[in-house]
Amino acid sequence: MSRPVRRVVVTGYGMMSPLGRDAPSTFQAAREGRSGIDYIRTFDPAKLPCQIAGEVEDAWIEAAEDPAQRRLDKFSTRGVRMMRIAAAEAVARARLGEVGDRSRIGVAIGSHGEHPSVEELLRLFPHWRPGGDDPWRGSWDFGALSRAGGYDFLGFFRRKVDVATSVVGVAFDCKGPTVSVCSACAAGAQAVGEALRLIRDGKADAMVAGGCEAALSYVGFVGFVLLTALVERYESPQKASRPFDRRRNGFVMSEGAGALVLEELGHARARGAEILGEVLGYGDSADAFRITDMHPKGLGAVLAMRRALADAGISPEEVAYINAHGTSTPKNDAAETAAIKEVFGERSRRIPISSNKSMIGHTIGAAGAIEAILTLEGMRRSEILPTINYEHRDPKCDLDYVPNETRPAEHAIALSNSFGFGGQNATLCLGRFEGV
Amino acid sequence: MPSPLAVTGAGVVTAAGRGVGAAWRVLCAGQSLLARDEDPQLAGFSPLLTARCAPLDPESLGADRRAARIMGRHTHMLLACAGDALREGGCGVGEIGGEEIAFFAGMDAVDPEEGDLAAAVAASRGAEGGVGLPEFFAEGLGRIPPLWPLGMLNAMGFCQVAIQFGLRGENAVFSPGAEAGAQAVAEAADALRAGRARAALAAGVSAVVSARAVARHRGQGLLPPGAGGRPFAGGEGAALGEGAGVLLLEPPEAARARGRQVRGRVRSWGSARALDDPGGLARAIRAAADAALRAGGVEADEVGLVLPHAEGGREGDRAEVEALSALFEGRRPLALATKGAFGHLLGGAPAVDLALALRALEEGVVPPSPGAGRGAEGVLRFPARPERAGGLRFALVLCRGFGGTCSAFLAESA
Repeated sequence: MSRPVRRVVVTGYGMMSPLGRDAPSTFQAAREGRSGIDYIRTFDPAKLPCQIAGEVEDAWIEAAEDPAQRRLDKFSTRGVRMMRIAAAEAVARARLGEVGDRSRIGVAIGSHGEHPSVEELLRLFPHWRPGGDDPWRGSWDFGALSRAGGYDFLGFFRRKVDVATSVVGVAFDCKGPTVSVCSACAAGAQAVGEALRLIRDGKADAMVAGGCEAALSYVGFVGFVLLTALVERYESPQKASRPFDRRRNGFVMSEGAGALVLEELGHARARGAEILGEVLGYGDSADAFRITDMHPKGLGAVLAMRRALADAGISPEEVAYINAHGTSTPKNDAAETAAIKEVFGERSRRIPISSNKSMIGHTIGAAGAIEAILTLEGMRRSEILPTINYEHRDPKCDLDYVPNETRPAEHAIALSNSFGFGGQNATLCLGRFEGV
Repeated sequence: MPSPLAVTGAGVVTAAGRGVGAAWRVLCAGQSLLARDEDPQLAGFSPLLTARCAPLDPESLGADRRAARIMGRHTHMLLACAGDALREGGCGVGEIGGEEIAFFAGMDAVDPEEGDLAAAVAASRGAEGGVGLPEFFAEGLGRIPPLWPLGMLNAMGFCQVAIQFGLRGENAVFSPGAEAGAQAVAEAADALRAGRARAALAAGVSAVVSARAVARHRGQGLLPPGAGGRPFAGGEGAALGEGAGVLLLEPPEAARARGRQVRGRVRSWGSARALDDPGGLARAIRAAADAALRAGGVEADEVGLVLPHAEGGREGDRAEVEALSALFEGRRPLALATKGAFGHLLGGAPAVDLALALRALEEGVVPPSPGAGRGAEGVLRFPARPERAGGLRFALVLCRGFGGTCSAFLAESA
């Protein structure tokens, strides 16, 4: 298998997560096996079966925001504010500001816009006209709502999937191609994959790519409660996310943002940029199974991993680590394990596999980007981050999940999996940079 | 030069109904389906022109009842078009495996349906009026349909269509405007050329007309109060249409080997982004067109038909005229502007316009462009009635999305 001609390297990354205000502090907390999960502070979850989440400290956001960019606040959701901060860290580390031709720098971001809030529903409700006994037959008096100032254009704008892409483009003067990806939990990884393709195809020399999500509002959270996807039984918040452990019973919802600067190798070298790693390949697929369930044998996951390997020109024998999607739901973790066994055969037992979600929780659209960054940083430091809260072996999950402690290990090639609600799957093949 | 990609199936839904033929007949009749929208929920925006699609019944499209419960109208349109394209292209079970069919779509934002919350809100009346949170927790919460939050994600409709047809190939959903629809076509074509798929669906879906959608697009300056949507008529902006389009693309040799009829070809494409300087938009339109022509190995004077973006906004239309004037140097090729008939289909516009361009090349006929003004008269020639045009081989399809992204596709007759 031959590698694509235009190699794409990573010259910067940044993030904001429940574990840390930036990439170094998040990695450090993760290597110490700390948990970023706690009781919800943003709203009162007292009546809900799940009362925990991975919230980012408000103070971190306030402190990290560039005052010159506060003009963009009115367009920015909480998730987009974090995206700006993560992108600023990535752009600074890559010294992207020194690139003269801004039309060759693009943006690809996965996110999902803002949910309507309880406050918005309260504003709407007085203008609801019931249609008799059946509440479904009523209608909204939009005329009255409009007169009452109910139409908030900026609110509508913030619901758009492309708002993160637009704001990052403006904030960092990126005038190249833009891509806005919406694929639930696979969005961050898909955005990085799409950025890889745009650079390979010669449409851009560099891309700011990643994902963001902040759905820890009441309405956003209740949605996942209604889907019964969230953890409902836990000893403590910190012990709730336990991917691959037999007592796992749902995921922990979190918020955050991750940004990577991807760059064509020659372009990076010509300007003397530090190279942090390489994006070797990208594979995507659909389960085409059920909206709320992953295929039990991980059929779509198998396709995504195989396609990423083929795209990278890498054989399964070369993969030294897998950053799992590992949500901590019974079905996902078992299906992902089955998929890894299908792709790697007997060797799957010798590949370290870990889930960052055990510490961070599930940041939805940001997860793929955050986990790609942690994977790259782990390769640079020759450390494999652990799966914390792994205590009880599950016969359906019988691989090496790097339990509870960071493992020192040289590793040069890794896969990072992201599987979305609905069945969209993405796998990134990442490499330690080999300067040949 | 990479070989053109064969279009072996197309599905279109517009206000004209289902099928490329329905849209084609409306165009040939010179009819505009834009009409004053009298929906009381849109009263706050009156007067407003829209071109809405008739409702589609998901169960008649093959969706099972359980899946249909969380399908919105975006999904219905996509489902109908994808089914039609796959059927026409003979991509049923056994012809091409679902793992080998890529699927890309550009979709406008999927808005929450307030009506879905009506039961929950009605059950949550607080003691002091409005929604009471204790009442909401006690009664209202349980009345929210469990899959309501998922229904708001563009990706869910897309995944439902993938499930319905067993599509397991490469995939992505882009959002929200024509730039997303164009990206879907380009990605589908890239996947085929790189050998990552045997066939690919390139899809686009418009907004569904609602108070939220109108407010959002009016706020962005796309939808003026009153009349809009007349191409090159010096107006203030577009009119919102509903619709979707899906093209089934394949390498020509693969289509031949399967014995499929080729409707036409997507030969090449190009894109460019307008920078925020004077004249930037016109330069980006021209750059996108140049890139498409260059990639296709075609000279501007070989283009017989142009489908301009022509949404009806003064500034955008003027930039398009400037770009095309420089490109064609006074030659005045035939043109077809569809937004005066069906409204602006946003993410759906590129695929629908490509399907209609291929139909024009196939028929050798260029229909009139309802509502078109005279602003492009010196650059493009819009026939007043269907005009037979022998020897049409290439059509240039232009589209422009949010953020100044301009795209151009070169369609070729079979």
